[in-house]
Formats: sequence, C-alpha cells, structure tokens
Amino acid sequence: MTTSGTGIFYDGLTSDRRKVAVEIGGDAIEVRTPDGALLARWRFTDISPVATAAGDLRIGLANASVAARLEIHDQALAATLLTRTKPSDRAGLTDRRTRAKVVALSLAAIATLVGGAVWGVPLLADRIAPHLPVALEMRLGAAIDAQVRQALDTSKGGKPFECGSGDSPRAAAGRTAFAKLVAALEAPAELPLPLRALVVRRADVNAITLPGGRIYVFDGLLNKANSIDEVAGVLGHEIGHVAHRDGTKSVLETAGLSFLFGMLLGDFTGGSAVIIAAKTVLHTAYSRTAEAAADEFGAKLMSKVGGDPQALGAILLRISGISGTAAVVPHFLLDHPAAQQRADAIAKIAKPAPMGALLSPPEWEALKSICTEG
Amino acid sequence: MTVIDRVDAAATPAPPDLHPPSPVRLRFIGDRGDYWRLMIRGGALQAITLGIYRFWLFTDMRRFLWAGTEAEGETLEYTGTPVELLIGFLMAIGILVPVYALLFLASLQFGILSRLSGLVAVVVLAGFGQYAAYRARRYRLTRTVFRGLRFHQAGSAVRYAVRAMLWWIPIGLTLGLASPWATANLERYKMRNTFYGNLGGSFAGSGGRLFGRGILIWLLVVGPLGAALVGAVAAIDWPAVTRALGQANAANIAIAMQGNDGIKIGLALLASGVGWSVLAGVVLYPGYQAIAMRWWLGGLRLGGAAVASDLRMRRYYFAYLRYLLYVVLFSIAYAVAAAIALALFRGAMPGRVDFSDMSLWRSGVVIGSGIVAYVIFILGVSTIYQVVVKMRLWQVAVESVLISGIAALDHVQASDATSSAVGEGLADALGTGAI
Repeated sequence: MTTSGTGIFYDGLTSDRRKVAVEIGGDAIEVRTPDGALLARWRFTDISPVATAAGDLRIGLANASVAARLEIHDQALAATLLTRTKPSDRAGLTDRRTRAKVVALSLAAIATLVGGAVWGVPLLADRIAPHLPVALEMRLGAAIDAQVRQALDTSKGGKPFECGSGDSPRAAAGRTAFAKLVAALEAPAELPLPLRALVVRRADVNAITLPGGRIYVFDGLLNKANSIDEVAGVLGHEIGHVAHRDGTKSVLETAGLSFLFGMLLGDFTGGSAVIIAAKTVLHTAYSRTAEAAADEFGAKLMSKVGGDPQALGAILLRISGISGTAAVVPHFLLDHPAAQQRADAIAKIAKPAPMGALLSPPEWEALKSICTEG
Repeated sequence: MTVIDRVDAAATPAPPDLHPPSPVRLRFIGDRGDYWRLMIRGGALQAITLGIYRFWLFTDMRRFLWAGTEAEGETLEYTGTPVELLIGFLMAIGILVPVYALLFLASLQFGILSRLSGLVAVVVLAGFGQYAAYRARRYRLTRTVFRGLRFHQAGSAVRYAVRAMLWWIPIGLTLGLASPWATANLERYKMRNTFYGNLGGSFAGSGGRLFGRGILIWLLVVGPLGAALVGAVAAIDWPAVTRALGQANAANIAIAMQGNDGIKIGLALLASGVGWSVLAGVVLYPGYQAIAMRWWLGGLRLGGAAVASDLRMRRYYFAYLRYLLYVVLFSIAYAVAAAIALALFRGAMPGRVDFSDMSLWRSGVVIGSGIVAYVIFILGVSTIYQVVVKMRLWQVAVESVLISGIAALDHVQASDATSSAVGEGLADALGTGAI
C-alpha cells in the first residue's frame, strides 16, 4: 500500500502552486514542502474529496473557511487515501444514498403538502374569512363585477343587461315583486353585508353570487321555474354563499392552492400539467363542499320564511334532466355535487311545507315578466 | 502541458518564464455520457419529487460543468450545496408571498392604483428579478474555487436592478437598438465588481462593437417588417376604410373591407412581413447568440489576464440542428412506445374500452396517464435541450477561449467573502435563474 508520494498543494491563502510531499499517517494526512517543513496536517475525518476530473483526486477540508486544496495525481496514493476518508462520490456529485434520502424526504413533504391542500387550506379559509373586513370583500366584488358583466352581457337590441330598470309600470311591478322576495329572505338570513340582488337578461337557467353580496338571477331561471318557491329556493342557496363569505373563502383557497402547487411544488419542466390537474381536482372539491353548505343554508332559510325548502331540489333535478351532459364529466371534476345527491341531501334537512306564501300570484306573474321590457 | 509537467518545470532550476508567451486555451474535459446520465436521472427524480429534486440536480449540473472547465491543467470547482439552495428558496418564498399579497390588495383599490396595478406588478417583479439575478451571480461566484481561492462579487444588487430597469427606457424607445449598450454597461458593472481573490476584474467590450456585429441580423429581422408596414400603409385606401368603418353593423364592415383591393394588399404585405420576421428571428437566433457570446467572452478581463474568443458561429448552428434531429427521433420513438402501451392497455381490458363510461377510477386512470405521458414527453425534450444545446454551447464557448497574460493569476491573495443563497432562491422562484 502506497502511503507516501507527491502532490500539488494550494494553501487557500494565495493561488501559488506548490509541489509537496504527502505522507498518509494513522489518522491524518501530512503535507510537507520538499525540504520537509510541515504545511498542513489534515485529519481523515475532516477531509472531503471534491470535484475533479481526469482521474486525479482533489481533497479539501470540509467546513473550512479557506478553500485549501491538495491534489494527488498518483493513482495508488489516491486509492490508499480514499480507503481512509469518508465514502463519497469522487466526482463530488450527489451520491446514491443522498439521492434516495432526498426522494424519500420529498415524498414525505409532498404527502404533507397534499394533506394540507385537502384539509388545511379549506379549514384555514373557513377560519380566516369571517375575520377579514367586509369592506375588502366589497372591493373584491366590485373588481370582479366589472369583468363578469362584460363576459355575461350579451344582450342585443339596446335592452339593458339589468331587468326591471325601466320606467314602465310593468318593469316597476317586477322590480317591486323581486325586492319583496329578496327582502323576505334577507332579513332572517342575518348577513354580514348588504345584498345586491338583480335579475339579468341571460337565457341560462342559473344564478350566480359574486363576492360582496352581489347576486345575479338569470332570466332563464325565472322562465323555467314552476313556482315562486323554486326561485326563492335558488335565491336562498345563493344567499347561503353570501352568509358563508364564499367569495372571500374562494380567494383564500385559490391563494393557498397556488402557494402549495406552483410555488412549493411543481416547479419543473412539464410541471404545469400536474399543477393544473391538482388545482382543478382540489378546487372543485372545495367548491362541492361550499355548494352543499349553501344548499343546507338555503333549505333552512326557506323553512324560516315559510317557503317550501324542497323546491330547490325539485328545480335542480329538472334542470339536470334538461341539460343531461353532466354525466360525461367525472365526479371529481365537477364543482357542484350531482343534482340527485343535492336533492337527497336537502330532503334530509327539511320537510316539505305548503307553497306560495312568499309572493301573491299577481306578484309572481310580475316577477316572471320582469325581463320582457327594458 | 499538465500540472505535473508545469510544477516539475518550476522545480527544475531557472525556468525563465513559467508561462509561455502564447495565449492559453481553455479546455472542456467533461464527458457527455456522464452528463446524459445525470440529466436523465435528474429529470425522472424531478418528476417524482414534483420539482423538489431540482436543487440537487442544479448543484450536480454546476459541479459537472465547473469541473469540466480546465485552464492549464487546473479545473474550476463548484462548492455550493443543494441544501443552501433549498434554504435560499424557502427564504425567497418568505419574501415573495407578502409581495404577492400586497400586489393583490393594490389591485382591489379603487382609482388610479387599481388601473396601474398590472403595470406596478410587472415593474416590481421585474425589478426583483434583476435584483435576484445579481445576488445569484454573487452566490455562484463565491462558490467557485480555482487553485484554492474563491471568486467573489462586490457592488449592490439594488443599484444593479435600478440600472438595469432604467436601461429599458432607451431600449424600448429604440425598438431594441440600444440593447448592446445596455448589455455592455451592465457587464461593466458586473465585472468591475468581480474578484478572484484580491484580483479585480473589468469588462472591455463596447456596446458599439456589439451593435456593429449584430445590426445586420437586426435589419434582416426588423427591416422587412418595417418595409411591409410602410408598404401596407401606402397601399391601403384610407378613405375607403373610413367609409367602411362608418357602417353601423360589423358584418357590413367586413363586406366593405373585403371588396377593397388596397386593404387586401395591405393585409397581405403585413402578414408576409410578420411571417418573415418570425422565420428570420428563429433562423438567425443561434447566430446572434454566437455573436453575443464571442463579444462577451472577448471583453472579460481579470487583472492582467485578458480573454479572447475565436468562437465559430457554425458550431452553435450544429448544436441546434442536432437538437432538432434528436427531438424528431425522440418524438417518433415516443409515439411508437405510446401506441404499444395503449394497445397493451386495451388488450388488458375485458371487451372494448368504452370511454363514455367514465366511472371514477377509469376517468382517473385516463386523465392521470395523460398527465404522466405529457410530463414524460416534455421532460424528455427538455433533457435533450439541456445536453445537446445547453451543455454543448457551454463547451463550445469554453473551448473558444484564449487567455493571454494568465501569469496574472499566479500569486493572487485570498480575499474571502461568502454570501447566502437567497438571491438564487428569488431567481428560482421568479424564473430568472441561470446555470
């Protein structure tokens, strides 16, 4: 076994090259000038082999503030030295054991973060949203409102997007009926912020809630509704979103998801597909929970005001029968629970009640035709 | 001449001059096969760890490239560690999250701030990007060891970021013609603050020279577009356009426009101008990269040592052509493998696969395997790019370097200064990182 030879030494204080004599001892390597003066004595436990190519060995001191280096070009001497030092990839690259450890720890981190996304994010959003100032949600609503109006307002022929805004007696009657319905539902709902409900000229059978208490009931819903209770049921559901601060929650959840998927995870070439998939699956899951909660709120509200709490389930089933396309989309990509599931859940919450106490028949007729004029 | 030869020569009596008067050429001694293995494994591990492995991969890439770069038998050494990068990244996130939150809140304010918030966000984040790039450079330099001494970087990242952003104004006003001077100015700042031990650097490249070498490419890309624009403006019958736009209805406007030959010619001219610009831009891009790299290398100075480069443009083009070829071959192989996998999958299913029956697990499998297939393909192409283009360009650039006056590096004193990896983390999170 070769235990002595020559090497090239850089003392880490100057860039001077020195040819040195190298001696491998019991627990350390000694570096001397050709005259025998001791330049350095490095203990094996402190030595770390560092990057070098072309079969030469280069070593340095681990955790040293100066980058002193010893290069050994004698293969036999290098081999001896390597048996004494800590095992390490001579190229200085990440070795197999480190890789395995990194992968294992990363998988654990991913599991934790996914768990955080599934349970932690909605929980945090639930806790934080009620404490955020209402003014913030109103501003958010105003910002989103402008965009939503631009996207939804496809009305032609000069009729305004908003129904019942005209001066005709018919428009005024529709407006009064709708205001009465909203007021009847708003008072017992005990909302943290004022409602701004409107009927808008859109043919879709739908209603939407924006942050800041803005509710848009689409004209198409009024046309498809068989009773005032069905409209009230939908409105009660949307009021549920307002009561739960779902607009604020959704912003918090989106931010939380973007932090977990996009900032912490998924930053690699091709990772965008993984990010989009994870965000979609998780966001629709949050949304399904929020929808179910809004259904429950709406049903209870209907019971309070003397409406039929099951009317919402009835119109949901009828609408899903009309469109019928939802069956192709897998459950985990839907942002609402399936209609049958929702109707069943509502049926469990509240018993059916007599209908028709919310608006008189003429008022209901006035509401139905709120969009026929400007 | 190897190190041993040189030291032996030094040991023998009275060598009049250690350094040959002729310039010393850098060598690249990294093995491409090793780099392929590193990158393929790194790509796979990145996908498995959803990107967390990148800190280890980037560190390995740098160690490989540094260790492969050799001057006079002595290689560079990268001493940064993946854990430093990881911690730097986490600290950067701690800085960026409040910034993002503030930008979001600003967008909710009414009035002027809300309308400007998009612009403010772009400027703030771009400024952060420049700041991060400068600090990341400091991190890399302090982790670069040559002959037992570290490099380091002085100067202020804030000052650098302000300087870089102020340059955008003349660059924008001159349609990019001012960018050579901007590049030269920023390189001067960086190199003036670059040190090897106590030996200071400088940058001798001039913006005018880069402009002179690049102007032909700029003219070939932008010139025809400008000519087409002028031609189109001249060809279009403007009164007719005004009359057409006077029509109340969109369909009538279209009909009136179509009936007008001048408009047709104008639009055709514009389309061909844009088409030419895009095509010329793609074809000439490697050429401009080579010109800029040769100019940049030729301006580097470290004390009395001066770099010259004899970089050949065609070597850049060969790298890109080989990349195209490899991507085509990889795509064919991938398509064949995917077809086989699909056939096996169908064979394993009882009866025909009915994609309209989207049960939970089945749709999960279909969507999941689609994502996996996409990630594998994109990672494959990116790995090919990293090896066939990125590493190759590094090698070509290194091998083109001739250093005169390398004796200046012989008796340099250490002047240690370390730095944290926060800049690297910011650069990573903002996507302004570099090798």
